[in-house]
Amino acid sequence: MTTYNYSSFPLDGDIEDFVHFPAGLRVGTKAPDHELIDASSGNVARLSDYYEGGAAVIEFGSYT
Amino acid sequence: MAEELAGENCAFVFVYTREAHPSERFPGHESLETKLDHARTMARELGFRRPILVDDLEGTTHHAFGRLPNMTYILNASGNVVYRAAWTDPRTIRGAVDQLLHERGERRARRRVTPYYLEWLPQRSNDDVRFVRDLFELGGSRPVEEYIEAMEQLEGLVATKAIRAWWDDKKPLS
Repeated sequence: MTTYNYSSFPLDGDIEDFVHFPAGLRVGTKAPDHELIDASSGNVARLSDYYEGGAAVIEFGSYT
Repeated sequence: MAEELAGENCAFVFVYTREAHPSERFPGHESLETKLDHARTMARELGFRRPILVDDLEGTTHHAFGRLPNMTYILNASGNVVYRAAWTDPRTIRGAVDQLLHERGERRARRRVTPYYLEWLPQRSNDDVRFVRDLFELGGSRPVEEYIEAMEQLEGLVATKAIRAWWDDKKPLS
């Protein structure tokens, strides 16, 4: 497995992650709710701060 | 989309992960401070209005959701997954949000709704020349060369002919 914070884009494009994605966190199951940091305030935040009482669209990504 | 749907009680959130294509300007994260700095730079330069939540350095949340570089989930009011996609595609996200709002309206009207299982394999537009051009403008030569080399191995020289041709024409002389 590639080191998570790799310094170069892996030659295999981390293709295994795409292969395993369909068997991962399935629809209908409760999503994990770990601590995150709000980039704007620097405070601890959780996804539940956003979906409770409604719904939330969660996009994952980075600048590059 | 987030602004269009303001008032519908549906939040739009971005979770900042590792750098998918590290470069000299945006290297792989060696500290949480660097990761926060990259997230804030992105917010400023792209004019982000959505909240950006930065994952920890180990990528705990990213791992738990599948570790893909550009994926999207929709969670309902209970935190259950109702939509998950290996690629962020505004067209299908909009369709899924419209479906959620429809279901909400049905419940408010006291009409019975029941879940059913759906699988779907949509295809996204893939302007890979535009992608490498944007990657070059943001990160310079190295991430472009790494990406094209990887794609040539994964998809073959025919499928990647357009980005190789663009790069051969564009790349700075060494």
